[in-house]
Amino acid sequence: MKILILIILSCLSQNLLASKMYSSVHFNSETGISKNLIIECNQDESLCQKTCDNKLKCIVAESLCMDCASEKSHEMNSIYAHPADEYFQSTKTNVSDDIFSYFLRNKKIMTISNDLFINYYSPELSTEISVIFNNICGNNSNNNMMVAEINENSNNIESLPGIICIDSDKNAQIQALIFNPKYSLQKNEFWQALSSESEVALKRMGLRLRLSNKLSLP
Amino acid sequence: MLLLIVWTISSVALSQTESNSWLTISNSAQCSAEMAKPAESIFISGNYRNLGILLNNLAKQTSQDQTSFIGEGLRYNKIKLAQLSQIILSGLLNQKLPYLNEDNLAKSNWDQLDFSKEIKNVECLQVSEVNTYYSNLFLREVNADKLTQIAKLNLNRKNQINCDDNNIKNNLDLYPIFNFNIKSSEPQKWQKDGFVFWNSFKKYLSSAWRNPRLKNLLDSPYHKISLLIPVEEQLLILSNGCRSIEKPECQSDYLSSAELRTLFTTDRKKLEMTGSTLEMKDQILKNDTEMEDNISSQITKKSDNNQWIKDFQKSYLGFTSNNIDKLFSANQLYSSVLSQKSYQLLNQDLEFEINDLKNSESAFYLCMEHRILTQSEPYSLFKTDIENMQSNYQQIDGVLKYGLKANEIIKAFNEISPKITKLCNQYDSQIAKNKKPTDNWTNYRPWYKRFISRYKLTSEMETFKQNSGSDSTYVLGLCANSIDCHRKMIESFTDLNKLLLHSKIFLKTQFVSAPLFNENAEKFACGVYDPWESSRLNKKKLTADIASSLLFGWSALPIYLDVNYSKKELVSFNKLVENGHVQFDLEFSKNEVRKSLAVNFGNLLGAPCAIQISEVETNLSEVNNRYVFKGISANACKGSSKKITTSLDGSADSFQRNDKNNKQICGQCSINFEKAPLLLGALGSFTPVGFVIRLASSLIRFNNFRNDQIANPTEFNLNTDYIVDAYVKNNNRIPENCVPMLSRGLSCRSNMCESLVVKEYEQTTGLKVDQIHLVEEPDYLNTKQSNYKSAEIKNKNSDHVYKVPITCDKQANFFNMTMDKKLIQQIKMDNK
Repeated sequence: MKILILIILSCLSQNLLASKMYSSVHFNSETGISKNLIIECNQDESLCQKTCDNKLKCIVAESLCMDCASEKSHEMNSIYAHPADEYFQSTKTNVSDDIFSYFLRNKKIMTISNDLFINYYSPELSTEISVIFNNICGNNSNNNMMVAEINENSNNIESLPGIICIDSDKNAQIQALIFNPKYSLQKNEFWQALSSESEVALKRMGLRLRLSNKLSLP
Repeated sequence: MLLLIVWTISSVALSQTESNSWLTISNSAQCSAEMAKPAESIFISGNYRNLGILLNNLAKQTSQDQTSFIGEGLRYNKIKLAQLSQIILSGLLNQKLPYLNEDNLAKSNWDQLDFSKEIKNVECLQVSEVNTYYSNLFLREVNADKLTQIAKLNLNRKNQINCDDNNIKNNLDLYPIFNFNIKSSEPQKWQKDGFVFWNSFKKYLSSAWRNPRLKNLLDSPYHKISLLIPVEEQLLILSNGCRSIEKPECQSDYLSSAELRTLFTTDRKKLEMTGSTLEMKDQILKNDTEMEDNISSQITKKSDNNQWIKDFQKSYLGFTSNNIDKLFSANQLYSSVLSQKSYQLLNQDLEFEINDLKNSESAFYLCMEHRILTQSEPYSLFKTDIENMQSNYQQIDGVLKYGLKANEIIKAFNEISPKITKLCNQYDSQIAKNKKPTDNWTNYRPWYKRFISRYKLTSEMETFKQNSGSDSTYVLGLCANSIDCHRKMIESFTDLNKLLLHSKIFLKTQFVSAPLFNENAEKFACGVYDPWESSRLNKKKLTADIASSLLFGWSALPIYLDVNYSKKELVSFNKLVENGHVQFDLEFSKNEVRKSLAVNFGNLLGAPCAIQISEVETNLSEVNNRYVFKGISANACKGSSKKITTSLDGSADSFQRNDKNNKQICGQCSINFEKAPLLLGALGSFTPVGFVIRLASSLIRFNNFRNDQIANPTEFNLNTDYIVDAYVKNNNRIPENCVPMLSRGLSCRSNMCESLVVKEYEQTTGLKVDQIHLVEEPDYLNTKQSNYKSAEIKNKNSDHVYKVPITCDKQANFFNMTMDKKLIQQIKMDNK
């Protein structure tokens, strides 16, 4: 367990997860709207492989949050209605590719960029919002995105656990995010819980694997 | 004061579905009587501004043609609304969907509904000129202009568009209005179940919107987009006419929905909801004719394309977001402060700062602000609310996902509040020894200024803004110091109270329906307005005014009596003011106060008043010997015998009218004072005389009302066919001479006798009159006032002229017409 946490909270300078990460939204008059997170990996990066079983490229379908375009959505309201640095803080700890790929595979997610179309609050402020994202990431890229967990059943936004920081070479890192740092109690809790969850899942899978191996023995 | 009569049209739209062409117009009293009945015709007003922006963003990012993409997205939402509403209304009317009570069964019932059944007894129309419906709600009288409007409305109605898919167009109308008319089969049952019906409709619509089940809706590419914005935030339900969607009840939910009317104001400063229940109820008693005029003029001025409702919807959006921001701010402040400081530490810091002389001024403000919030009875303005908050917070907890929940904020306030009281009491005794700090109006927190200014005489309330304070270094930079933090927490607490009071209308977790256009809605709901008996009504109004004033405890806001005044002597209020026994705000010159009192009190000022002074125990040291105003009570007289009509103890329950046959009010009063607690006595900076003035004006109103006959419910039946006919015949206007006839439900003819004959003839024969000639009696005595003795009538499409005996004097005071049975048969035969 300790080792796992060490992996998640590894130091900033390392651990680039992918060479390129961006979100893309499409509208098709037959099928409607679709939003995807697109990940491109170099040979030495494993996120694509771990998430999609493909070494170089991975497309993760995002969910669209329900009832979230509202003043009542604390997350959206804080990001778009009155964009300010004070609502967010990075923990400056990176999320490992194991955990992030587990997140992408097992949870409904939605990325939130500075110019997300859902922003009816202040579409004219996308530059200002991008500056805030840059401040959280400590870079100057304008391509950073927050990532929200969408509730499995209600499709509402469940939490805002991370920010995908994309540096000027378009390399991506996932940083654990603190929302409402002035009073938030959740620091890395989300990712730690996810890490335990994945560990349990792995164990279970291993057990099943071993069991099935055993069973398949003649 | 004149009683304004508001003529209103009840159930305008329904009359179209029925074959007859009679339109009932009610005055405001009749309209209020109708309010207790459930509506059968409603408007759903859409506000797709945010959706429009969202679609626009999306069009840009996905390279779609903006205009057609936005239009198509809006069209989908409109079709979805129209289809689902009709299915649900029809399902509820025809017992396919059960009514919903408290249980949350909307989803499972909806999931089981069989769509194959046809829509029955429901009509859906797209309304492009909703003002023509509502403008009639402001009729003060039936005159040529209003009849012209009614004619236009009825002509337009023939071109009205229903809600079939192909009639709902791809366009950029962000504020569409739909009119739904339903026909209930059993009027008795409807009266009983109608409100449950509408409540169920709202719940089903919420549920169905998220799970539309209809293939055409689910398969649309816009389906997912329509779920991004909560549908409840986009729609407002209004009743068409006088009847109600929600049962009028004297509770904050209903009252706050009526308060939405404030949004009609063009004065941004007034865009502030009431801050406490007492204030809310107090507002009800205000006769806000200004607001009524405002609404009326906006509707008539901006008649094109539903302009006024667009403006209203925009204000409503702004109001909503403003209030949600306040909620998040309160949540952030309390959560942050308490995550950084324990209660003990907060209190230690506060004690240290209050005792520091350099903070004397800000400590003074803190204590003033806190005291008005936490005064004990009978001075309390917020006490009931604070108690209600403890049980009512759940409504907003759903919105607070992070930090402290509403009940935790309330708990926190209850934790810090007694400590502030304690420290402020210590501070008071310090002040008693030292000099009172000069207080500067601008340095009070905005909420306090706003609150107090409602009850100040002056209109020159400058800015409500807070002077920008010193650097914020305390608790993560949220406050300047502990005093500042406490003041902000008090302010946030009043915000939270306000939000709770109005949560239904700004949280919009359910569909909001509002009695926007019935000026008597709240009065009726609170039993202040009884439309049935004008005399009873007047007394009730008076009673309610006085009782509520006492109940509201405005006595918290001090009018002082100099204690040197000898007790229990009968003296006029005027004398008291004149001699300086009753003291008012130091900011006002005595003359100014007297002037406005004279204006408002009228001759009551000279009426004799008994002064009652009661001693109350105070724990505070007796450094001050002023007495604070505790209420006023009126005596009524009948003939020579005087009977007390009010109680003196300041509670509404004990307020009784002893004499049911009171014919007049003498205007005699008792003014009650009691010994002021110390700090109250030290308040020199405000004196809301509003209470006294309101009380006085209600006495005056009572006098004026007495002889007012028109307060009785009245309704008139107009024939819209006749009105349209007169309008078309006279080059699209209604001439003055038609008004007396049309307003009696008659057709417009050259004189009243002709109109009466035509009505009688058409009703008896079922045929239309084409030409008519009245024959006078011979005027042997040359009186020039001879009566008509017969009528010669020619039908449409027939050459026969029928002669019918009548009696009608020229003033049409007397009219008689009896048609012979044989003649009727003959006419019917001829015209077969």
